[in-house]
Amino acid sequence: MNAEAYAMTLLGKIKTLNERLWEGRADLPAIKAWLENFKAEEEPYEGAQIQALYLLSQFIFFGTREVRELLRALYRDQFRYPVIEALREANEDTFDVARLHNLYEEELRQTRFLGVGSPAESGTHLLYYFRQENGLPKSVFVSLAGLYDRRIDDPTVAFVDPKVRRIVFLDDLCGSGTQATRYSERVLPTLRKVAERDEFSLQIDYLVLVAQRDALANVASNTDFDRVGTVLELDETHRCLSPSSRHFHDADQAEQDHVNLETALRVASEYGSKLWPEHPVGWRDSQLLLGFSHNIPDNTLPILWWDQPPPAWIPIFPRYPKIEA
Amino acid sequence: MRNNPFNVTKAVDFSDEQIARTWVDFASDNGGFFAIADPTSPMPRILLGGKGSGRTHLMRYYSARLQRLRGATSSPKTEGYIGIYLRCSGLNAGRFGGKGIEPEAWQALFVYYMDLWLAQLAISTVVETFGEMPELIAQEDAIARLVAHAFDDFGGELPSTLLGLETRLHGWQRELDLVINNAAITRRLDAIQIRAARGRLPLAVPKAFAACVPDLSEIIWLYLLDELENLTDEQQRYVQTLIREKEPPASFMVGSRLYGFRTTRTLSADEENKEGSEFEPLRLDRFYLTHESEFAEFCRRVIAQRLIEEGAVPGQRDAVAEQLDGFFVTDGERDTSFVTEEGAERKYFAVLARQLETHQGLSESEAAKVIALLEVPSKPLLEKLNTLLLYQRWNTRTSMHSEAGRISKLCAAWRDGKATGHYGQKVKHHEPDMYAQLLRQYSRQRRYLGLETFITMAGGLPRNLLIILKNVYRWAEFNGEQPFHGVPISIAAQRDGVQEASSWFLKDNLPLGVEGENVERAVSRLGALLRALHFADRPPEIRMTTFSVDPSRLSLAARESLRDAERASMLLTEDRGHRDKNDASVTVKYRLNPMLCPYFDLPLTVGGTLKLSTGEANAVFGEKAPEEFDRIRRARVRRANVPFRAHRAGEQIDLLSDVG
Repeated sequence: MNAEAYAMTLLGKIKTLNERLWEGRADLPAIKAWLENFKAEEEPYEGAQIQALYLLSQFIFFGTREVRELLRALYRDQFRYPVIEALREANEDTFDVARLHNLYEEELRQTRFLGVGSPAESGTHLLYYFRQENGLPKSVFVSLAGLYDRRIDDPTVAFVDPKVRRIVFLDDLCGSGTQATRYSERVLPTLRKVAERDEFSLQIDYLVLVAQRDALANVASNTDFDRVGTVLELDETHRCLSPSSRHFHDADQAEQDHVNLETALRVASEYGSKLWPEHPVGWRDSQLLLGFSHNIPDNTLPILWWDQPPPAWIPIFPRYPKIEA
Repeated sequence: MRNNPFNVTKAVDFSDEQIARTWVDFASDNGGFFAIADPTSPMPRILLGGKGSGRTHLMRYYSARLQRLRGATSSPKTEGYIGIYLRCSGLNAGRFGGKGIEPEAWQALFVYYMDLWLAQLAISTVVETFGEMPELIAQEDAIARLVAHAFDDFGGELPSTLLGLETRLHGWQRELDLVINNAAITRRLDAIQIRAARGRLPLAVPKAFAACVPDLSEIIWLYLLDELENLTDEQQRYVQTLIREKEPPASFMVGSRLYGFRTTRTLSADEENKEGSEFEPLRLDRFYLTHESEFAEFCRRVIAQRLIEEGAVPGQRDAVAEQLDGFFVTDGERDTSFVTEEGAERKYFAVLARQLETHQGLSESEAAKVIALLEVPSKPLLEKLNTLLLYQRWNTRTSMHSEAGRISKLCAAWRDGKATGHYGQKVKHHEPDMYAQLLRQYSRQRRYLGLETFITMAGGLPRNLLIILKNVYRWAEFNGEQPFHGVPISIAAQRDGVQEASSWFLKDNLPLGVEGENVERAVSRLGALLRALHFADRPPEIRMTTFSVDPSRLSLAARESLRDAERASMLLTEDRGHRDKNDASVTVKYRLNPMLCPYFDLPLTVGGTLKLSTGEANAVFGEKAPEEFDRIRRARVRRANVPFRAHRAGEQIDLLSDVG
């Protein structure tokens, strides 16, 4: 199979992905415009476009439908079931459904769900769908500021609802654990302080749709969250350019003839370093190839999402950048 | 993304309203479908066809629900029949067997179950349709009692209302369901009492209504039994029995895939129903293929209707149907600019030069002189044709130079308009094949462009056309085009959509299991052979997608694969039996389904017929090892390539020791 025919095969696959999963976000004109990025005047190596096209064909996209499904699974598996399990344990392993239902409702009333980050960030953005998909009352959702009855620097600050005993922080991705760690350092001390002062036990959870295994383990051991949990755990094989990358494992003959890990790594790194020199293959070397309908995380290869000059770069899945205050 | 108007390709996925809205009649000037498969005919009909022939759409259109939607039930006489529709797949026929219980017991239970079901269906259909008729309301008691009397043992009080009757029948059917569902545990069916003689109830219901309500005695009660292929052979015998024992005013229309119609035997002393006496078959796809222009017109209307329904194109259906060709780019079908763009040297002449030197013993300069005579620099297609004509004279005693000179003169005369005979015929015959060869030699893909081409490719199955258009639409959308809005759909989108539809057809139509593997192997081998010959120096036939073979001489395995490939619509039978003039064998002519032609890079239109020897056919359709097939294929193809001999010097090919 020559390179042109192989490119057509990849495009066929991408077309199907675009129709079925990518919500029509990457049609041929968009792909062609994006591939133009890889025609540098001084091309560092041959066949950059085919490597880029191959990486694109491996992109994992969680569309609106998939995100909603993940939110259902997150609530069910990481919140509802563990809570019911704990309630049964505390109540002589009861099978009394009506009793359990009442206990669970009470537990829910004492819970508040918050997004990680500011209200404009993806963690917070997910809350609306999380509530909708799981049929939860508005009263269990609150902003961080709305949780307290006064400014947090006021030493007498308390919760607006004094019955709150559990805080659940939600996020879409834990790629490196940086944000969760930072958040833990900034936000959790005040929560703990209120609980300690008013002498009640406060459970604080960090639940995330998708997480890198190591990053989540880091958050679990180096932060003050009581519990962390995810629906989809990524491992080293999801780092697309690592030696154990699943994207280059079991490549068929056609793939081996035209793409390989070494060249793809060079393409992603060299073009990536022009875009984001500090993190050429994603935030802290994450090397991910995934995105959500609401945004593309910066852990994903910048060659896919970078759209801030310089240099002029046409992204295939643009990322809406976080504006740091 | 806009909604693809061709997304739904199966009638079962449509609601009744969608069936009504997307309905298009066939050759309505000549009576339409009502004339082709008359629902008012007392003669039972078997509608046969490949997947996607439109059987279900037609049968659902005939059902009472659709009759009501089109307002045809204001009076029973409006259409002269009432359609009682049943999909056999809903029956879950597999549960009526096994579990350590005798087949005879299952057979009796199945028959009784079906009798109850059809009787209920007939009652509910007529009540939903004509329930408001004063005569029917007045006679309800009498009808219910008449039906109840058809039972040998109705048990308990006779019903006085149709609802009461239906409830009793439904209750018995539910009892049967329970017993069947538990049979794997109980291993018994004896909790069941069969209350009516075989096949009596479905006929008793129409008779009772007809006896009590005069208006309902003048119409046909048409049982529409769809998807017969879901019943086992033994279960199909029940349907055949109903057909044989039918009494007015009931009649039957049975729909089945061709391969799913397995028996004409009845349960009445094993008697067989005869075509023409007990039933009339109608092969829908074959009917379409033999009514080419009407089918094309029908297809256009189907597409226009879809486009209008989805809001993709505004307007009135027939007007939209006439505009359809404009939605597809069809220019440049014989464009050869890609040849001249690559410079003065021609790839085909380079090959010819080597062949002349190697096989005709010409020097480099002599070969160049021969080629110079064949050249028409501005017309690569004529150069290809001239090359072919030289190949056709390759093994004559005349020198290549003289032959080339003769061809050159004929070509020049034809171009000057002085002589059109022999050379003109050759142009006409070989131009499509030579163009295909040019595309291939210059690494271009063959183009299958335009609606007419797609209709030809559909091979008489409307669903195939919808699948092609669905894929073309998807590619166009992916390419950033706006299909059916302004700019015609590009060549690239049509080409890629057609290729995808072709690959889908191969995968989707393969039978399950070993049969499927055998058919896939056979079709792949056939495609490979036809393609190799099509692109040979001197193809044995023009536009070759048809072949003939004498099935009676084939090995058992080859015969079975051939049969299965036909049943799976991979092959279409062109001519069931033709006695060969030379050796008195009876050959059958098959055509590769045009849906598969793009997959194998073959032409769509029918040309000459390739005669396969028994050995060749066994290698293609039988279980011979791949190396054996390759050996036989190479031998056949070698005869079509320079120097046009079956085998190389010293190589032993015994094509006649090929039986079995």
